[in-house]
Amino acid sequence: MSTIIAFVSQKGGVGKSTLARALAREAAFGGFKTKIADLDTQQGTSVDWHRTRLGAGIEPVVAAEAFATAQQALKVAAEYDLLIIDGPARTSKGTLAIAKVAHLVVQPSGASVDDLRPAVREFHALVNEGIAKDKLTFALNRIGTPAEEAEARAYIAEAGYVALNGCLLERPAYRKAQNTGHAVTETSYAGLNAKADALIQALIDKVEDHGRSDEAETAELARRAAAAG
Amino acid sequence: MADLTKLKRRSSLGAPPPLAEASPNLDAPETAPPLESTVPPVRRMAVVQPTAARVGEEVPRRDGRSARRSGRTLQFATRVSPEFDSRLRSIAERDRKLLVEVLEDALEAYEHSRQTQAAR
Repeated sequence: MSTIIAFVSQKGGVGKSTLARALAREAAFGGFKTKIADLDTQQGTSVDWHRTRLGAGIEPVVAAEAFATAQQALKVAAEYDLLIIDGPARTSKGTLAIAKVAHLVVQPSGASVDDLRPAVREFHALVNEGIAKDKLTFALNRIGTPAEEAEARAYIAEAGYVALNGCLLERPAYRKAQNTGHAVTETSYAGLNAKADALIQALIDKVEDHGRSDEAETAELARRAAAAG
Repeated sequence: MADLTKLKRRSSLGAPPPLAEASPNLDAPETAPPLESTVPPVRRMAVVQPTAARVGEEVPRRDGRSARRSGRTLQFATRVSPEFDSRLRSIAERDRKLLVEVLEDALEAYEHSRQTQAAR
């Protein structure tokens, strides 16, 4: 069974494609058959980046393809070890469809209340539709200072959600790397790469944790069924 | 010095929205509706006064196609022989008239001729 990780947001420019690419790069580097499903057909940010990367001959090759709807993207999931959904800059019925099947739904956000407040509302909407809270996670992006990160993290916790450990700092080097087809884990600066790598690792660990809780829940249900029978 | 790490600072971000303030966006259709700006606007064409502005112009062939759409005129197309076309355009050129003005004059002359014949 393939793993599906979705990056969603009602806003553009929060870091969906940035994190989707970095995760895809690390997964491809680790030998996983990976695909980025770019659902933003109007902008095609990840598809364009894929083309730039191919043109520059950067290894590993990270596959990206545009899909008009979530359903189309999910149809190809079985062909990959990891399907990364890079959502459009809006939420809709499609977001709910994605959240229902994804193993992890990541919503990147900046540290301003203008970014955080609507982002919390989007996760509230998913929770109201029955999506388990433990597969919803924030990823902090474009962070300026440790104090800013701490405050954003506290805000998210107070809202009842978690933010992945680590964050992406506001650095021109990240933009520069992506302009040339690289991921944020492939900049010219080892420190920035390590920071980005830690965030992606936290994301992967979160998927693993969620998978474990799913297994535990299944085992518990089986135990109860056996006891009742 | 006292260890203040256990004390929480006042947040400048305020309280997050409660669950009741969930976004309504999940009801939105997955495919975004087209932007209104993609629909070409209806252009209202300027009305020009053809004869007054064109009398002094040095235009070798004037066929009236440059007349702006205003609702005052409509398309009138027919097939004619090359000789008729050449004759009509030559007259229009010579008299510095639009093709339609020559045709209007011709129609007037025809009606007048009919009336004259009928009066005889």
